[in-house]
Amino acid sequence: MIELINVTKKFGDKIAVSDLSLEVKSGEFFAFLGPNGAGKTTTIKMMTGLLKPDGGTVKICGIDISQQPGEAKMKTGYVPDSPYIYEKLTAREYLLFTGGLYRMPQEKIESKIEWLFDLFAMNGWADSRCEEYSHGMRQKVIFCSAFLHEPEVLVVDEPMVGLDPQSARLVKDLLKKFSTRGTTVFVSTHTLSVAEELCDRIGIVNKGELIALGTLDELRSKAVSDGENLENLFLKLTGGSARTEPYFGPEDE
Amino acid sequence: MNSALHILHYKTISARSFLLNLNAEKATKIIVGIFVLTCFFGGSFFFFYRVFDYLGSLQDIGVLLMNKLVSLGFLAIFVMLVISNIVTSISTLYRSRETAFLLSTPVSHQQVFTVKFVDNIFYSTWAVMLLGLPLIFAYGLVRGFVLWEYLFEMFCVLLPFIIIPACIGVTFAGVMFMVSRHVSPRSLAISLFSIIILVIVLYFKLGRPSSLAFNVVSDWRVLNRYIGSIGATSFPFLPSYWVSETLRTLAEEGRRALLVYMLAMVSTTLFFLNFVFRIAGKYYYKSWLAASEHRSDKPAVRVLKKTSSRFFRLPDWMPSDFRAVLSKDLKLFVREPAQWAQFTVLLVLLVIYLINLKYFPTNVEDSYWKTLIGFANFAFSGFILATLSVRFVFPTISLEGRAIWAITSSPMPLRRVFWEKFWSAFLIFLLLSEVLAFVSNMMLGLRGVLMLLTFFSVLCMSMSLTSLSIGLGATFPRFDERNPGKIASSMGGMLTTIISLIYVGAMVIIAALPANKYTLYKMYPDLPFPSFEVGLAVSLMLILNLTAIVVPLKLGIRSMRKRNF
Repeated sequence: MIELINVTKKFGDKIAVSDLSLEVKSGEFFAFLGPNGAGKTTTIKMMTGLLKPDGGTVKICGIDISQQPGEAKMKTGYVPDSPYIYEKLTAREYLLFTGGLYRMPQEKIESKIEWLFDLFAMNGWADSRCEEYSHGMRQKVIFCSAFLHEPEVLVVDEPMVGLDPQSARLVKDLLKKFSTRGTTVFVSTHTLSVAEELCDRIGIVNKGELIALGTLDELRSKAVSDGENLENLFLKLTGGSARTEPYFGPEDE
Repeated sequence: MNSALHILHYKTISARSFLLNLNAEKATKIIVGIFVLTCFFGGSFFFFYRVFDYLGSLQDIGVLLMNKLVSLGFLAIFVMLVISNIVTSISTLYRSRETAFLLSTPVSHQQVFTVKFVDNIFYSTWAVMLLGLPLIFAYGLVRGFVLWEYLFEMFCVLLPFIIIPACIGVTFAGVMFMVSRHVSPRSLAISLFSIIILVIVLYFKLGRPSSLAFNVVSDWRVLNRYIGSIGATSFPFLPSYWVSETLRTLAEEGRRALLVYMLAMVSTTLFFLNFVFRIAGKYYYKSWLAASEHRSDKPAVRVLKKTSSRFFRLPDWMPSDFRAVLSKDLKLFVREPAQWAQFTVLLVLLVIYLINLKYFPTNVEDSYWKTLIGFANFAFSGFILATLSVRFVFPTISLEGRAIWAITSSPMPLRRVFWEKFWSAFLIFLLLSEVLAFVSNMMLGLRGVLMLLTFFSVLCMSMSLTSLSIGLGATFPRFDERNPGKIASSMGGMLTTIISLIYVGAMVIIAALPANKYTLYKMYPDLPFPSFEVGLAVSLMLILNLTAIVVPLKLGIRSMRKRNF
């Protein structure tokens, strides 16, 4: 599970994340929603040890990532928004490589690789170099590497970017399946449909602050009571307008 | 398996895959590159061999001068390695996406540091050593070493010689990022470079290295005093001194004497490695975090940015597409710390050169020496220009990177993009090089025809070197690489360096013939004015410069048109 306790992050005099407290339980599917620049990626980077909080604590499965980064990362699978991949390695080599980083036994890596390739329908591409892949294929490889060591916590930053409908469906199903098997899934997105379809709980962040938190039903009922749907509630909370008609400038008026 | 070894193993697989899967075009480029590098290597080896061979034939003073030359050579290589390590480590240890990826895995920070440290040594060293090895081999041959023994001994000596500057460079970069948490990067850079300049001024005030040359050429009678002064410019605590002394003792006193310097090098290397890895264990991750966090601007910086945005607003008479690309290039340059940091380093080197000239004896009346000094200055200016153009102009096309579609899909023709790059770089170079030529000629007391000749040659060189770098930069682009330093030290970059240096050499040779005749004409007014030689030189220069301007640009445009974006 994930615990964020009074987490604050500043860049100079700009506050990216302000006193954020949040707990995501084991096996929970949590969506972290927010507009661009709301502090989603900063929060995720603090959860994966790529940024250090200026205040507060981040715990992964009870382990403080600032104190024991190696142990915390062993329990985490991370899919960044713009992942790094070794272009000259094949998908199989890349997964053997990442499996090694997570100190998995060779035989286990190999068997898991076969399973993942089957799952993602990548068998025909397994031994081609990553530089030959489309964006969606690369994304699949990154997902494979995140699933490879069977993490207890899966952190995904913008999961659907560049995926075709089939792959998007597959990723959604897999994330859901992992979550039902006990993996904590933390997904940062601004695709509301993903949150609506998959998540147990949703947190909405804006300007570094958590401004709404609850189950989908709770947020929906709040939206309905306000005479809005979830999208309009999201827009309202995050300062966007709930305009339905497109606007083409002053000439349109 | 150790994580660092595991990562390095897969990096090797990646490199092997790159080499085994080359397409015909890339393979041809690499073969041509290797061929040119070999020619350069052979040419420099031959040059040093001739110099050492000549010095070896001079009694007493010859061997001393040879050792001094080697010692200065190693000092220069050492300084270059330190600078190169500082600059490269900014990108390999701190700005690389691979580092961020590795740090998101459970691999310990120290192991990640180990991998990136090895990377850093490779990227920052290979090009410098390629320039230094001909000197080492030529010295070995002249002093009659047995090849295999010499290779082994050189390996033992050069390995520590490479590692020590890497440790210094990486530590320096780490401290810089740690301090940058509290001080803005710009004021940090200004303070550091002020300190460097101060140290250098003191060095030249106390050491007077240029006085060596003067003593040798003008005052043979005070040989004893000269020999005594040689020690004054050596730094017995620097690894460059140990390497040159190792070579000297190997040649003069046999292997037993070698042991002292070898032990000094090995123990210092172990000390540095131990120091760096201990420090890295504690502070690498912290410094990486400091480097990866974006600082928000303080009010003073905001004012500066406002002023600079006014500066970037280019005049309206420029075509709007041209203006847009130029403005973007200027902004990207100023906002990339690695770029302006290295530009400042090179400017510091220029200042060093000019300070050095200040101490150069200018009371030389003899026309022969005046011409010689003028030519040395001309050649050095060419060398500086070639270095600057490869480092800053060569990567410009590659740096468009994955965003090049924005330009290629716009109505702006490719040829125009090339011209924008050409003019912006050329005008900056022209200004810089003409100022350099003017100041250095004034300091050396060179006036009149020689000054005009330098101005004209520098104009030609600025134009040709810019064109060479832009054209070849487009012929050998690295769109996958964001680090301009790595782009400049790629195979294409090295090739451009070599072609640029050959071009500078050709310019010097072409100008030498009429200059020599002109000097004789000035010394002996009875001789006729060398109009044939001047005419020939001007024609050859025109042909050389037209070729250097047109051919690379054509190659570059053709290569870009063939690409799919």
